[in-house]
Amino acid sequence: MLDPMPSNPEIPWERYALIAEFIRRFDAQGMTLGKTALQKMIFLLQRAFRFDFDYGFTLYTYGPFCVDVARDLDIVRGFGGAEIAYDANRGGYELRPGPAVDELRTRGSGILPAISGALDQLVADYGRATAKELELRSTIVFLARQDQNKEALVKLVRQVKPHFSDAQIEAARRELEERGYLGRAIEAPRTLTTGN
Amino acid sequence: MAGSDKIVRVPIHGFVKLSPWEQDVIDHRVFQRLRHVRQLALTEMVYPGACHSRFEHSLGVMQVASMMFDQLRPQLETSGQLEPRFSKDDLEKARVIVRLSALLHDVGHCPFSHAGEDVMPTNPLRGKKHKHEDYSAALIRHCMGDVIDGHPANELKVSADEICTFLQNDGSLPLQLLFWRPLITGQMDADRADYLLRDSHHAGVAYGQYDINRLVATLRVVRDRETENLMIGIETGGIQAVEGLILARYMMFIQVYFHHTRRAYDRHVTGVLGHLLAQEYGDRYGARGTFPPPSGDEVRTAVQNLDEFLRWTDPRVWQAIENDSAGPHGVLIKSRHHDRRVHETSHFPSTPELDHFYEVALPKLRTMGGYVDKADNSWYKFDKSADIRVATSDRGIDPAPVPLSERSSLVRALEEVTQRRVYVPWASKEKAKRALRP
Repeated sequence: MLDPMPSNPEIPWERYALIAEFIRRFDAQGMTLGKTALQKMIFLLQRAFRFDFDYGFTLYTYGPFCVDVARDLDIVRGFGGAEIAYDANRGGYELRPGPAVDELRTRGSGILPAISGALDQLVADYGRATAKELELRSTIVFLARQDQNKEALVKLVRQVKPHFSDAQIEAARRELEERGYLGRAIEAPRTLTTGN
Repeated sequence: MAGSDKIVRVPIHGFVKLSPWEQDVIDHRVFQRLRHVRQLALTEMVYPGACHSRFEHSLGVMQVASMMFDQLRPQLETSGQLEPRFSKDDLEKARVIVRLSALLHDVGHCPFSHAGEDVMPTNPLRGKKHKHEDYSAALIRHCMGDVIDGHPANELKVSADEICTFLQNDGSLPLQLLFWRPLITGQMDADRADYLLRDSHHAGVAYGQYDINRLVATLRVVRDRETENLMIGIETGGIQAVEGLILARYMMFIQVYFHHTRRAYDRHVTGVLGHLLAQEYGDRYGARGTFPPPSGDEVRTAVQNLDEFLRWTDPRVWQAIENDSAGPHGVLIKSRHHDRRVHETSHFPSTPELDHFYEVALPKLRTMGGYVDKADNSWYKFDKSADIRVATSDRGIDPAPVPLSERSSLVRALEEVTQRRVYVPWASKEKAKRALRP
């Protein structure tokens, strides 16, 4: 069981602040954040860094997906925290800061110091990854709970992602292991304190 | 025991054909119980016709899931480029699993469906409350093996465990099955496709209507450009059908599922169930006032708990309400003195409007027993599904689909409903209104 993030029981400002923070960070570093990447980033934050925003992810053919993340992104957009444009050349969305992005970060700012280090690492490790690369890695982390034996895990991932070769899956698995993502995904929960 | 196919007439879809195996599954006591669990809890207090059951809906979901499967299957069969191939055997078995999963997906509902889920016990593995899906899976696994694994017509060796895995999706499904899962839970799934039409039909409102036949006929297998994954999308000619589905979802949410009186009754149902469960079991299952869990230290205990759970149906609860033994919330239901909505935000409140709601209006009402209900808490959410993929080519597996929101300004313009309301007890209604006057 993960540690629940402290949250306003009436309005999940922390969730909105998290989304706004991702959008702000990617924009500030000149990187592109798409809808798929946002889903996978939040999944990795929950599963590999053990910060629970109460998002429930399900595995689809396109990797872990949570309808509440999609819904919250729409709400953030409605509040003016995000602008969402479709890039026809890339075939994906691009999320940019809206006029209220900093207001949303402020409203849920109590949580940001606690997760800042994790976000730094996540963005440094995978901020420039493609949606396809992120999807493979998040699927590996998702399935690591099924089987931690590396050969079995590669086989399990290939069952779901047959368009990746065994070598590609193994390389991604090794990278996640070296960066600590797989190990942390099975660690005990951490204790959190926030500014709230 | 070979019998013959039968047809049963189900509102919305007309004749639904059932194999002898499916007839035996339907005749099982776990499925028959769904005759006594209403689809929409006490929605009948607002829309008197909304008395239909989960039994009828489950037959409808199986029918729609089959229609969708049969539309998509030839597209996979005729494509030579797929890796891995969807073999004939894979597809035959997948169809059986999809039909049985659709039929059985709701067997774990408690009395009054979603309204009773607040009194489900905590799952110790997740630290969160069990959901009806947990009960569905446990009932299929522990109580229905005789009509699934052991059925003489089960030539493809489908197991109850496989159906549970398909419904719960723990990550171990191969692509040949995972591909079909959006038919059970996804943006255009058979569950929603059926209940919008069915709930609309029985409630006597026109809001849930859309062109289901066009929707099904225009389903397409697509390959996402960004991630190269196979997905279920729609042809360009189906855009209006999907827009109709999404508008139906929006209208039904506003007018039926999130109706202010219906939501008040949901809360009273939760109160009644908590009272009855506390009376019946005390703290036998840990927390007081919860259903027996869908698990146990061993299979025998799990089965005992599930047998106990199966005894809970709508008529049993209604009888307690009629006998005045359902606690204070039962009295409120019987007298129709349900809690009253006295204040609410717009459907899409801005941040200043939310600030006013919580900082100005709500404090005036807290002392009167006021409480907040919000759209996010509703079991039925409006989900605008802007990311459904639209095919851009005429045939085959489409390699360059675009998101629906890029082709539909209507979908692009819709916002998530985040309305908040304050309710007070019936007796405090006038006092609350006076307190809110400027």
